[in-house]
Amino acid sequence: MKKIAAWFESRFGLAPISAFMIKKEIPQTKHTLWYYTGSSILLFFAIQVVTGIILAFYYQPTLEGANDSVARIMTEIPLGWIIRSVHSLSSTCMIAVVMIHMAAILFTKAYRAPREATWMSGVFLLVGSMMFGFTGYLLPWDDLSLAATKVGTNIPRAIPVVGDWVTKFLRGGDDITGDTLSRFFIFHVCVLPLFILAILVIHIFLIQRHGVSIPLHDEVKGRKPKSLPFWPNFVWREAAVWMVLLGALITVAVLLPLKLDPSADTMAPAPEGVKPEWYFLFLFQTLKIFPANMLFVTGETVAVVLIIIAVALIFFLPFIDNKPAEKKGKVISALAFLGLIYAIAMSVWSLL
Amino acid sequence: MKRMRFCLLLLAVSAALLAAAPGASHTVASLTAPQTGPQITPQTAPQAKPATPLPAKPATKPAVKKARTEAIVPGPKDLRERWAIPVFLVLLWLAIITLLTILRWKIQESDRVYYAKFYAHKDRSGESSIRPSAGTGIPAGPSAL
Repeated sequence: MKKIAAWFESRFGLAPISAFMIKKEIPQTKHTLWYYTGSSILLFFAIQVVTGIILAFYYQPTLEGANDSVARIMTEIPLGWIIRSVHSLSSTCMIAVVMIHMAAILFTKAYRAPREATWMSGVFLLVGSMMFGFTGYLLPWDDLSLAATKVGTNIPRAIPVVGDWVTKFLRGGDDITGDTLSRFFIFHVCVLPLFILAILVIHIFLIQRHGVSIPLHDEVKGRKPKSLPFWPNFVWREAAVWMVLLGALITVAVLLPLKLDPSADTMAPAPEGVKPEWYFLFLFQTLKIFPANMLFVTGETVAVVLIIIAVALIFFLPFIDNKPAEKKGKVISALAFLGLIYAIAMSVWSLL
Repeated sequence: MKRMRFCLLLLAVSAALLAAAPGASHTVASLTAPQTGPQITPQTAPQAKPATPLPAKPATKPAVKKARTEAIVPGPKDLRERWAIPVFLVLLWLAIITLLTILRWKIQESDRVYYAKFYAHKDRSGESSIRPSAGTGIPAGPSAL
C-alpha cells in the first residue's frame, strides 16, 4: 500500500494538496448551515451527470423520435421512469440550492474583497444552471415544452440590435423545428456541461484560495470565530447531509414521478396556460405586466433591458458594495430583500 | 440518541408515504390486467417446409404508427417492479439510517480528537485558511496552496 502511495506521490505530487486539506478550517457560527449548500449543489450536479448519461443512451434528438424515445425510457427501460424523475427533480433542486446559496452569500456579504471573482463565477453557475433547465425542458418534445420554448426563445428578440440574431441562433432558424431540438440537445449534453464544469473548477479553486468567509459581525469586531477542521470533522457532517438529501430526492422522485404528454404538433395552436419552470416565472410575469408600447419602443424591449441591467448589477455587486461596516451594505441588503419579495410575489401572481 | 430518534422518525414518515403512494392501493384486478410493456410470444420449434408451395399472400400495407394521444403517467410497469419499489425505498432508508449512525460516531470521535488537540502538531499549525474580507483589520494573506 505504501508503495502505491509513493508511486502516486512521485507521479502526481499530491502532497501539497493533502497538506492544504489538513490545514483547511471551517468557521463554526450560526451561519454554518449555509456552508452545506455549496456541497449540496455538487451532489445534485453529480446526480444529474450520472442520470443524464443513462437517459442519453436511449434518447433520440429528432422530431420523430424525441417523444417516443422518452416514452420508451418510461415504459420499457427498467426503472427508466425513476431515472427520468430523479434527473428532472435534481435539476430543480440544484437551481433552488444555487439560489439559496447565493442569497446566503448576498445577505452575509461574503462577496466582498477578496472574493469578487468567486461571486462572479457563482453568477455564471446560476445562469448556466437555469440554461440547463431551459434547454432540457424542450427535449421531451410535448405541447407544453414546445410552447414554453417558443415563448422563451422569442424573448431575446426584444434585445436592441442583436435580438433577432440571438433568437435565430437559439432556434437554428426562424421557427422551432427539428434543428432547434438537436441544437438544444447539444447545448444540454455537451456545451453547458463543459461550461459548468470549467466554471465549477474555477469556483472551487477560488474558494480554496481565499478560504471560507467569516460572518459580518465577527469581521466588524475584528475577531476570528471558533472553527473546525475541514478534514475530517466537516466532511463527515457534509456526508450526513448528502445522505439525507439523496434519500429525500429518490423518495420524492418515486412517489411523485414526472408524466409525459403526447408528442408536440408544430402546427397546432399553443395550449392554454403555458407557463415556464418555476425559476423563470418571475421573469415571465415581469414581461407580461409591461404595456405593449412605451414611448418609441416596445414594452418588451424596456423589460428585457431592465432585466439585463439587473443581472449586470448582481454580477458587479462586489465592486458596488466593496467596503465593510458601511451604510451602503445595509442599503444593498434592503434592496436584495425587496428583490426577493418581488421575485416571490411575481411567481405567485403568475401561478394564479 | 436524538439522531437515532430522528432517523426512526424519517423511516416512519417514508413508510407512511409509501402506504399513501399511488401504486400501493392497486386491486387484484389491476395487478392481473395486461401490461403495456413488450409482449413476449412463446417460441415454437422450426417446422419443415411443406412440399407444395404456399399460395401467395395478399400484399399488406406497411404498418402506420399511431400517434399517442394520451399522457404517460409513470409507475411500476409490472408486478415485480410494483413490489421492488417499496422494498427498495425501505432498504434505501435503512442503509441511510445505518450510515448516519456510523457518521454520528465518526463526527463525535473526530470532534473529541480535535478538541483534545491530539493532532496539534506541525501539520495543523501555521497559517489559518479562514480569510476575512479586505480592510477588516484581521490579518489576511495568500493561501498556502
